[in-house]
Order: sequence, then C-alpha cells, then structure tokens
Amino acid sequence: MSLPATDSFNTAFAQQLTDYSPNWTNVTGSFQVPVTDDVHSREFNVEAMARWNADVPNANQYSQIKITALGDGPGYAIGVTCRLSSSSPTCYEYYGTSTASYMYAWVAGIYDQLGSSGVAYITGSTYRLECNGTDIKPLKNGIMADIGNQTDSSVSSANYLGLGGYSNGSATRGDDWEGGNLSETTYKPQVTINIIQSERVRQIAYLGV
Amino acid sequence: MQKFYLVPIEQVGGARGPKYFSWRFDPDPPGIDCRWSMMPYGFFSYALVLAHDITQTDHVALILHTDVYNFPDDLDTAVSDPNIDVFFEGINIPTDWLTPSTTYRELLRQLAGMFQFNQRYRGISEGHDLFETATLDTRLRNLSSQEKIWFDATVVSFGYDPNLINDNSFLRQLIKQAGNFWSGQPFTMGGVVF
Repeated sequence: MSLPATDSFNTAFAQQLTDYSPNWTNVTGSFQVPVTDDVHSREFNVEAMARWNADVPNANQYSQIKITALGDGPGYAIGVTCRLSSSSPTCYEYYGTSTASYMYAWVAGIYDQLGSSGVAYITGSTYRLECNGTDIKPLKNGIMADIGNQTDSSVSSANYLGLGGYSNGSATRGDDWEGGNLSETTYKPQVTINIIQSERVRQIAYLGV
Repeated sequence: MQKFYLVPIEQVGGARGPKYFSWRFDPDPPGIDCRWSMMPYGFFSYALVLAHDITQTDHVALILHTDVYNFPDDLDTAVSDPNIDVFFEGINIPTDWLTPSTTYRELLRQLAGMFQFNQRYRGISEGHDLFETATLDTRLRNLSSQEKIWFDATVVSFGYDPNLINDNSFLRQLIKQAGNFWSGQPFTMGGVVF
C-alpha cells in the first residue's frame, strides 16, 4: 500500500480490529471496531496500541484520528501513536479522554509523561501527533495543542504508525484514522513559541515549523 | 512565572512523571498544579522540568526540597552556585567542564544535550540507563560488552563514528561531548525554545 494510509473502520458487525483488517497488528492490548464504524480500545485498564503493518513510514511521520465519542469518563482514552515498535510498547503517543489529554514517550513498556495533562479531547476534533526528528508535536485540528511540542530523542527509528488507547471505553471512540510521512507539502500550522531570554519572556509569532 | 528545575522522576507502575508536580498517576497528590514540561535524563530518575506558570508560593515550597535544583531567573549570568558540583555530579551530570564564565543558559543547553544522549541510549537499549552500572568516572572500555554495543549504536544514531572515540575516555567526557552535539540547535519544552 502507499502512504498516507487511512482507515474509516467500516464494518457490518462488531469485531476486533485485527479481525476487521489484516493491516492492523496489536502491540499491546487490543481494539474493537463496533457497528458505529469507528474504533475503541477494548480491555479494562489496559494500555492498547496497534500498528498499521501495511506500510513502512519514514522516521518523520504523523498519525491522526477524529474523535467520535467521549462518553466514558476520565479513565478511558483514544488517540494515536508514532514510531510504534513491532516488538514492544515503544513509541510516542498522544491520546485523550473526556477530561484530559496526554503525550508520552514509551520505551519498552515504561512511559514518561512529557508534559502536564492537556485539556480534554473534544468530539468532532482531529488529534494528530507529528514526529519530526527529535521534535514531538501534538496538534488539535492542525493547531499546536496546549501540551506543546517537545524535544525528545528516545525513539528515533521509524517503526510503524498506529493507534493508542486505554481501557475498554466503548463510548470513547475515534474514526478516520490517517498516518503518513511528513513532507514539505505537509500542512504547517501557525504556532506561538515563547523564547526565554534572560529574565524576560519574549513571544513571537512563528509561521511554520 | 517560568522556571527551570532539575527534579526527581517518580514512577508508578510503568508511568513516570515529575516528583512534586501534578501528573496523571501522581502517587501523592496534590502536586504542584501548573503547566509543566519534562525532559528526562534517559532512564535515570531525574529530569529537567520547565514549569511554565508556577506561582511564587509553589516555587518557594518546591525549592525547599533538597533533591530539587533551581535555575536562576536570569539564565545569562555566570554559574556561581558553590553547591552545583555536589548536586549535579550526584545525579551523573558532569560539571568539571564549567568555567568562571559559563552561563546558566550554556549549562542548561549542555544539560539538555546530555539528556538527549541518554534518552537515545535508553531507546536503543530498550529501557536501560547509561549509568545503570557505570559512573561518570567509568572508562568507556570498562562498560560491559552489551553496554558498549548500545553506546556505539547511540553514537551512530547521532551521525558519528564510534571508532573515532578513545576507549580510555571517561563517561563524563563523552556525555559532555554529546551535549556539544546540540550546539546551535534549539531545544523545545512545551513550545518554549531555549
């Protein structure tokens, strides 16, 4: 297949993600594709990650998903992963709940919260994670999310694009997943960067990254 | 106000976050409730933390903890803290390269570069810390064969030839050189560039 890859999770009956499509492989936990034609993680209190196995992306890549439901409360999350290893939970992850959002660096099952908890995910919004070299960037509808981007070198291999989620939230779902390579034609959001200079904080508008 | 700190990392199950701050799996809430960003020193249990909007009250309470290092507001002043050697070397950050004119900003950037190297080592080794068995005064040739493989792979991942590294070098020298790699390149924490 070719990138960008997409999946809209259309199904005639509820089934596990890996049964629904051979293009997905679980790395940890598992996902469900319900008759609402979207996707959610499916095991109680378990971190879930699945990789899109049909394509091998570049190391500079993105993964995004549109949120379709957030009805389960704070303990249930849905989102995306980048540079997801095939052998262990090693990746960058950006996922959210009805009350908060989180960005993690995972290495062999141990995960570091890279920033304070972000604002809640919102139904209908598209959440995207971009990994460009050591720049790890969470986006909401193409705009930098409040967690902000982060320099991190933990995971440099391209590995795979993927999904991320937590617990069995059948009412915490995403749809229209897309993953691909970053390129010069990739949409460049307008962001604001604070530059610490001496004791002052100088704010500049910065177009493009 | 925005402040940089060195803060211990606490771990709950598989999750790690900054001690004293509020995070998802904070084991002893309430932590400091502000916007923060964390740059871990690889798998070593310390991190550079940028508190984006910490209150003066929380700041004063935080720096009472002896395991927290507080960077001054003015990063462009020369490093003058007499206790810096003890604190930094105690968490495997070399300070023997500091000169009287080194500024806190230069120190901060070197630190961040060192942290990136140990992060990459953690990723390549699938969860190990460069200082798991070694210290700053361990020579490269005294790492285990497996640790040497991971170290070399880390060096390669940053675009360098490990064959050019003298095996007699101390880790303190090498981790400092790793910090030099980032000269002229920005670091970002939660959208803040330094």
